[in-house]
Amino acid sequence: MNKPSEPSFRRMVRLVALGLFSFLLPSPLQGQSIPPRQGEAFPLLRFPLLGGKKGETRTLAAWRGHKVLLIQFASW
Amino acid sequence: MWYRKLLEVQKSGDLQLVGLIQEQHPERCRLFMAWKQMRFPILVDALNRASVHAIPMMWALDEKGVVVRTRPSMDWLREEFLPRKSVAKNGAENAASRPALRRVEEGAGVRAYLAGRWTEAVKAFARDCAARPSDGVPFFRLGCAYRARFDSAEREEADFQNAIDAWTQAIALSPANYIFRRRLQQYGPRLSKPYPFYSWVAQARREMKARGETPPPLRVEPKGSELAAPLRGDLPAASAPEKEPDPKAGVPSDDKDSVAFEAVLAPRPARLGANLAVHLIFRPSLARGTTWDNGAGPLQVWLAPHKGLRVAHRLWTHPLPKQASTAEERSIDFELALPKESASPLFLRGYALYFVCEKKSGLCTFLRRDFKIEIPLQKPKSKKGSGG
Repeated sequence: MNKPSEPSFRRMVRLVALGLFSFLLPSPLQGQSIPPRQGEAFPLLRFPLLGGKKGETRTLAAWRGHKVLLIQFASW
Repeated sequence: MWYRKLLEVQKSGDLQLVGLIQEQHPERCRLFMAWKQMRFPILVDALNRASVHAIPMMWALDEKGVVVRTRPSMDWLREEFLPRKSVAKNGAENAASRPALRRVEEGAGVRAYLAGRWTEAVKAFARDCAARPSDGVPFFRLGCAYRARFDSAEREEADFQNAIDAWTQAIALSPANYIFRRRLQQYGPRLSKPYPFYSWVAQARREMKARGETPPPLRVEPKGSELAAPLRGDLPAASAPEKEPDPKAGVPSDDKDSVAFEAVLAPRPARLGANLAVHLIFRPSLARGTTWDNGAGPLQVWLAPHKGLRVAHRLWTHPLPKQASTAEERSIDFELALPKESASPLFLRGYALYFVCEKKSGLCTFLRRDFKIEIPLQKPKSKKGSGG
C-alpha cells in the first residue's frame, strides 16, 4: 500500500535540516587519513631530510615566510 | 620534464620548492635528483604520514603554511600565486587568522621508525593493526617497518614476507590508495606493474659518470621485480627445452645450512588466475663463514611446479661475479601464473644447487637445497558486495 505523501514544505524543511546536520558533522574521513586540503594548514610533521646529517629533520615551518610549492613525487 | 617547467615558474617570483617522497629506500631518490640535477630540499615520508592517496601531488602553501591550492597548474602558479601579496608581512604570524593545525596523532611506531628502531616499530605497528583491523594505514606502516628491518643488520626470519603480507592487507583495506599499491607492485608480478620502477638506476649511473660525477651510493640495490618491465599478456614460454641439472638428487643436501634460504611471495595471499612474484633468497651463513665458490659454477634453481602452475623457465641461473669468492646475498626472482581454479592447495617445488666454501673447515662443496613452498590463496569474494 502506498504511503500518503507528506506536505512538500515539511518535507523540504526536513531535507534542509538533514543537510545542515550532515554539513556540521565532522566528516568520517577527517583526521589523518586524508591529505591536507585547500584552506587547511599543512600539519607540522617532522620529516627526515634527504641527504641531511644523520637524524636531521625538518618541518615545513623551516620555510615560513616564503611561498612554498610542496611536490610529492617518486623517483619511479 | 616538470622540474624544468617549475624552474621557469620560479623565476617569476619567490617560490621555494620542497619535495616529499614516500619511497621505502629514499637514497634512490637522492641518486635520481643528482642525475636529473634537481636541487631542492626533500622531506622523506616513507610511512605516508602526509596521508597522500595518489601520485603525483602538489600543494601551493602561502607564507603561513596554509594550503592555497592543491594540484596547481603552472599557469596559476605564475599568474596568480606568485604575484599575490604576501599574507604574512616579513613572515610575521597572526595566530587569529591562521587556520588551526590539523591534529595528527603519531604513536610509538612512528617515533621508533624515525629513530631507526625497527623491532620496536614492528611491535608498535602490530599493536596498531590489532587495535584498528579495518584501517589500511597501520598495515602499510607495519610493512614498511618489516622491510626496513629486512634491509638492516637486525634482519629477522620472514621480515620481507611479513612486509608483503602487511602491504597486501593494507591494499585489501584501502584499494584506492596508490601509495600502498605502488609499494606492493615494487616487489610484485610484472602483470600488475604500471612501469619499471628502478630500471633508470643503471642509466643514471652511466650518465653521471660520463659527466665526471660520482653517483651517490645506494644502501639497497634494486633487483629482480624492482627492475622488471611490465608484462602484458601471458608469461612467455622457454624457447628451448631445459635440462634438469640434478634429476637423480645425486648432489648432497645442505643439511648444515651453509646457505640460509627464504622464499617470499608477492602478493600473499595470492589470487587464482593471477600472477605471483616469487623471490628465492640465498644468504651464505655468517656463523659458518660460508662464501660462494664462484670459480666452480653459478647458483642454479630448478623448478618443478605443481600441476596448473606455470613459469617462464624451469631452470634459473644467477649471474656470476668476477671475483673468485664472494659472500653476498643472492636472489632468484621469477613469476608464477596461477590456475583459474584449484580444488587443492597449491605448492611450488624445486631445488637449488650451489658451490660454497667454508672458512672454518676450509672445505669447498657442491650442495643441494630442496624446497616446497605453499601458496596461500585469497578467499573467493562473495557475490554480494566486494568487501574491498
